[in-house]
Amino acid sequence: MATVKQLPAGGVSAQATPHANPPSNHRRKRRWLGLAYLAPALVVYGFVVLVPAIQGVWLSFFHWNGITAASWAGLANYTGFLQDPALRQAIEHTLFFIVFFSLLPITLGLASAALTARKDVKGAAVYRWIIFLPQVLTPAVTAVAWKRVYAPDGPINSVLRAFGLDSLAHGWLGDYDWALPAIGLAGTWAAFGLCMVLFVAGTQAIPAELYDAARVDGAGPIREFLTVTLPGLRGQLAIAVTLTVLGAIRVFDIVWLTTRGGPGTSTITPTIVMYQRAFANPDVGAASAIGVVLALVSLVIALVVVRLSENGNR
Amino acid sequence: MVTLRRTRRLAAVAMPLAAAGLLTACVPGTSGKEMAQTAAAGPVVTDPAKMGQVRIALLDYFTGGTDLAWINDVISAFEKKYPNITVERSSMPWDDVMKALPLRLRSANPPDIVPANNGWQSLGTLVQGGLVRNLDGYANAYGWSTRFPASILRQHQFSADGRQMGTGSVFGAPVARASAIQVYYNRTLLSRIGTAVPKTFADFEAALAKAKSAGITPISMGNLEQVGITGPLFATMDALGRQSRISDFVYSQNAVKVADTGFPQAGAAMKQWADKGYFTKDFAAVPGQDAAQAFVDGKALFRFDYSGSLPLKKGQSTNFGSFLMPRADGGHAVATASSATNFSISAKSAHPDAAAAFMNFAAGQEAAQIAADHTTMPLLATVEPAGDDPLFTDDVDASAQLSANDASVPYLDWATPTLLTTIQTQMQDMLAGKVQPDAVVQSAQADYDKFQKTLGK
Repeated sequence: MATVKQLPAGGVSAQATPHANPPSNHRRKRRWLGLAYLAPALVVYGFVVLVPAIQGVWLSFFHWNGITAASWAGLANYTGFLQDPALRQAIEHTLFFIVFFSLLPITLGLASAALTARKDVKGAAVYRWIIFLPQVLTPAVTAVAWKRVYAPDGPINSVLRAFGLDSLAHGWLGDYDWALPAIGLAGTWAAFGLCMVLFVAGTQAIPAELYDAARVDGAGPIREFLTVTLPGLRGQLAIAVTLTVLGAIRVFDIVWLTTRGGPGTSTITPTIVMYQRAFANPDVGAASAIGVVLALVSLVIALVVVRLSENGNR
Repeated sequence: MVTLRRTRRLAAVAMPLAAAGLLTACVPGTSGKEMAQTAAAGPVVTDPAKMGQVRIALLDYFTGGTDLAWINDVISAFEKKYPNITVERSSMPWDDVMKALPLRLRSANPPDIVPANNGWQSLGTLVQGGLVRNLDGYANAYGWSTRFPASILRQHQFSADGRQMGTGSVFGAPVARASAIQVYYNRTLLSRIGTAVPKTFADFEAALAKAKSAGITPISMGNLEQVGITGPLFATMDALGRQSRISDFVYSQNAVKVADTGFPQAGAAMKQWADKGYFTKDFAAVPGQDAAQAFVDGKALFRFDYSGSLPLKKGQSTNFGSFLMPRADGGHAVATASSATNFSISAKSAHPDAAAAFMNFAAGQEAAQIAADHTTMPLLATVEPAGDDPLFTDDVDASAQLSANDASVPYLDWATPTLLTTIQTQMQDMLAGKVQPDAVVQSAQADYDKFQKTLGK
């Protein structure tokens, strides 16, 4: 990491030494000018993101119902976090969702990139468009669609019954064992397109000579994938992992619009608990604490992924 | 040098932000002191003609259907009668109103009339925060306590310190439209199983059994979003429990436990019905809207629903009827019922007289007749049902019974801000056989006790 930072800094100072004061003055002015250009965006960002974020952190130290005077809670909202059975369950579900929202779509995306990148598949653009489509739909629409798909008289059960598999037909979203994977699969479907497009674009940027070289060395398709395609996609992988894992952590809409965290609490997520505490059962401090923790966890994950992908590039 | 300058610059950006954070950061919330200022003081004006030219802002959650038609017609009728008062109406979906209300009421210029929901989740907390006005002066001047059934008016009452619901000062008013949990039935299917409209709880259960053995879904219910079970649960509780106990529990009087309200018996009945297949097949996975539609499409005998909530198209209502769940002990029917909305006046309103005049009008005879004209269940006044819609005739009859017998009980979940979530989650677990019926009762009681502590009890 140290070497990374020194490079641009060294470059700048090397250019700067021949000229003395005037240009640096000039440069300082230009820096302020740059900041001035940025100012509108910074002000908006400050008031829309930073101020509420700071308020959120502050609120997390109170017991507050959203209306009457709050009382100081210290760290109680955070320590309560660890003991709350609903939250513990919600965190387990998040780990489960990471498999469906991140691991599966990335695996599928890599597979489709490996299959299509080096050959011309007829109608590839159409397939890509169809697979990418979920990214364009609003989550509310996908939730309604999946509710229909999983309904007791919905298409999945109709197909099962048509094949005489009546015993396999389920009320998927109302089943304690199936509701979570059912929602997870909807998430896989939604994230798959993004991963595929990222990876296909990435493979197209890999120089063809690398593949030729691998083939000359007698590499089969798997070897080729492991030694050429995968290393070449490191940057895209980092983006895909960051986006999809964060997506799994903050999943809310599809759960809220299908099961509301049920049956019982079998699909509850941290964001559902946060929403309930913020609005339905006002305990704004506890909701803020959940939000703060989720934000920190997301930040750490993003940093780790970026760090890992940068280290690999050295 | 570079780093120093950078930190300074960072500080330059961060300082105002931190300051902004700290400024807003003093202890959040309103202090209880504001409460006292909202106590009704001084004389009130009740003659709208003497209020001068006034504009009042009304917020409601009537976004479509007869809801919207009713409020628009009430406003037109009011403005026609009192041309010096203009009502500016805005509306948001129910969920959004409940989320936004605390912020709107604290803003510099809140609406004059707001639809705070009864119970501790909304109105009770707003009263504690001093954000809505004490309406005792208007209640006396307009004679609300004699005009409205006591069981309806007390849904809008809170003690002076905001720690007791169902008694004390008036902080809101009902409107002339009812929202009750009713039992709807399909006339064709009922005659097919050769049964009359149930007059006792035993009749009702017998009809369920007959329908089941005739291959008809007895009750259309979808519980995917956790809300479907509350209708049958509360209506059955009203049939098996005692009216005074349910009210006392919600209003935290006489130390009534949830176990005394008929709630455990109702929960056990739900489990029995589920096990006997009286609810829609796979009800745990059926979306609520699908179940409502299935009933309207003639696929089930009964449905529990809130007044006016069935997705009926024009002319479809002729095949349906409604009744209030009959009691097990043969007494008059008791129903979980309230006004279709509560209206309260924001503490900051500059025109409380005009706002109260409108609320009084919306709770009056003319507004009830407008409700009847739109075939939506009236409240607080007797009306002649318009036309020959048989379902609406039943609705008017149910409303008259509720008023005559003073037979409404509040929604159980008004008792604490979290009780609805607790009950719904636990009921799903119980119906799926994951927990025993006792566990539901214990969780509900624990939820109740926890909240009572915050009220200082």
